[in-house]
Amino acid sequence: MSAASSTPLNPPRRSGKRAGPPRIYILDERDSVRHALADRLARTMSVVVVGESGIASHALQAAQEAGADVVLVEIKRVDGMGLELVRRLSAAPEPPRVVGLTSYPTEWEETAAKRAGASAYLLKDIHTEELLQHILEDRS
Amino acid sequence: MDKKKRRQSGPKPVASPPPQGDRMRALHRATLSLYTDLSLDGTLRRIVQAAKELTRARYAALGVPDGRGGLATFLTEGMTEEEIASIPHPPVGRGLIGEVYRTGRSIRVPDLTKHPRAAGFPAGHPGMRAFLGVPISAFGRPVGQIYLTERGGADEFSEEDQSLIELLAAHAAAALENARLYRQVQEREGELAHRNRELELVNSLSTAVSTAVELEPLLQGILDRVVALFGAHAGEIFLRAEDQNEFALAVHRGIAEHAFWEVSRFRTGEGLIGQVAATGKAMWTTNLAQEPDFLRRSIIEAGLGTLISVPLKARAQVVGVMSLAFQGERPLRLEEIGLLEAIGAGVGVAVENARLYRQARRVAVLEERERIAMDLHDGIIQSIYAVGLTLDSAKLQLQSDQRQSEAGMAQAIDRLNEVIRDIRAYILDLQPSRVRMDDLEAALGLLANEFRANTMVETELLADSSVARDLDPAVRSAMFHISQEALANVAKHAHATRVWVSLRGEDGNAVLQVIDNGLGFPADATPTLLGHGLSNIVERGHAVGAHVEIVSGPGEGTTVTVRLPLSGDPPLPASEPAA
Repeated sequence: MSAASSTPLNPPRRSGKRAGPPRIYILDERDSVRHALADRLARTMSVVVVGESGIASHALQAAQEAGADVVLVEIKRVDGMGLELVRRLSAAPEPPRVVGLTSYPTEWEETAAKRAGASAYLLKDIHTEELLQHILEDRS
Repeated sequence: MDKKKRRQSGPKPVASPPPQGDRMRALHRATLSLYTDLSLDGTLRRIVQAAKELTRARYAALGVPDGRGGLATFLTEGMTEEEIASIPHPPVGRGLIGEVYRTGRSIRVPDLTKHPRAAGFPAGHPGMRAFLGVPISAFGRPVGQIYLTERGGADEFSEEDQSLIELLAAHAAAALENARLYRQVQEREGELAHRNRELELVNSLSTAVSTAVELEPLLQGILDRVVALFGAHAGEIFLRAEDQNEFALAVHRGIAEHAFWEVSRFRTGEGLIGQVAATGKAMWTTNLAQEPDFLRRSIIEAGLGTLISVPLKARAQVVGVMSLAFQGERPLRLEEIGLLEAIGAGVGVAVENARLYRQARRVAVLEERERIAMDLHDGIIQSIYAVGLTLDSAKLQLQSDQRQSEAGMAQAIDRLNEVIRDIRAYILDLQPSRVRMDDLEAALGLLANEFRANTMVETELLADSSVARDLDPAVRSAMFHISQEALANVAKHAHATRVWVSLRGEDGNAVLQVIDNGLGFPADATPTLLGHGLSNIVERGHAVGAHVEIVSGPGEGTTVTVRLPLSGDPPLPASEPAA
């Protein structure tokens, strides 16, 4: 029941909007969360999971290679790299939309994440439909 | 020594003729002797003796004026003990004695009883007639007078006698000045040493204040030094209590300990201590018994009569009161009070410092606890989130793939149980991850406690401390994790009612065993059926060079044994065949 590996399923388009369902990359240190989320999202037709990883250095490159449109990032990390990852993802050429997804919110973290480039700061509630809605809105 | 002295009459010549030969030599010897003694009393004595010898007078005396018309000192030579005893009082400076002082000039008469200025003698005084009085002057002011009476070998003192004693007087002035200066230097030295000790105390105070130290030893040290510096018999320090309006005794030094601790709390304004606290001003008394504000009678009964209390201040707030007590009446000088007040200010800052430091540390501990709590709650939320997603997926799967859905739900249930155990461990403060691996015994203890708390199974741990200490870090870590896995297996599958964990030494080997009385498993069961736990155990054991044995049978419970030599030799196999 493991999620899709990090090899790209559809090659990315270089210009303009990408066609097809949004391509999701999941970046979260916790294996159980990553697998469960990838598995759940895989059961909808409205998005495609193109990869997942817990390791910071690996994820940056993999997300780009996979042509991710949206990267779901858990900001709280043991290695403290959460905000930095948001920054780097947002700084890439043709950057994906970076969505912060976290267990509990703090004001300073929300402000910092948005300043680093996150387009949203969401909480881990088991409302997958709402999460999907958020991902599907505002694709530009 | 003119034996044919004729009675002189008429006015005396203005300048006396200089003394001759022998007598000059005698004078030289006498003047030299004046300088050999640096003490004031010794010098005075030598002057009197020299004057007596030089003139062969029967009686000699030296008076030192007190500046108010009387005499501060009156030394005599020539009178016997009985004669001295029979005189009611020394001369008071009237009569001829006073005259020499007033005029600043020598007086020489053959019969002093006939002098118009004579004041007479008290009853019992030996008769005296021939008289010679010579002033000792230094820098134009009188510092003493030499009196001689009853010239031996003549009826009266001669001009030569007068010249000799006047010369002696000039030297005496210098010798006395010498002695006085020497005494002043000694006193100054003593003062300087005292000032130095005071400065030392104030200095060490500022050092102590700036370093964050334990308050009680700091206050004890300071009080010791203050008590020593002032020569007090006891000292005490009160500090403001948690109830802001009360002061409690913190430190006592010196005598009468029980008396001081008898009443150890005062409210602001209550008693002497309370008043010092309320006003922020020092208070003192040299008569404690008569002091109505002083409430502690037992201290008075201990013989302490003098007390001075100063406030300990920090930023204009009174944080305590320091007192010194002396036996009996001990006058206090203004500069002593000033010094104590200054010390009080310094100690006040030290007290405030210590309080702020304690506060900061409490905040730091609270912050640390909060941080740990947030970490834990974060972890638990993540776990529940993952489980919830799995259930969400299972729900979707229900229509299409029922068996997969069931497996997903089973997994979710397992995970939720894990979460419950995590929370329970946090509540009971049993965090194996927080245990230091250098104490294997304690780590195993924590594992056993956590297992017992989660399963309600009777658990017994028997660990040999010396064996635990002997193992190197890699082995300790392996033993710990193996125990953890074995216990997790028991919790999941065994349905046991009793579990033993033992670590002991046997035939030169370290032996770890986890034994349960549960269901056991068939000997031919494969590791995959039982989960990865058992193969993990074997792997971990082999990784550190240990021999691993798992013995079980259906309904016979399970024993996991890990054996490795303590000295580093290859492990000896057990007598039973491996499972």
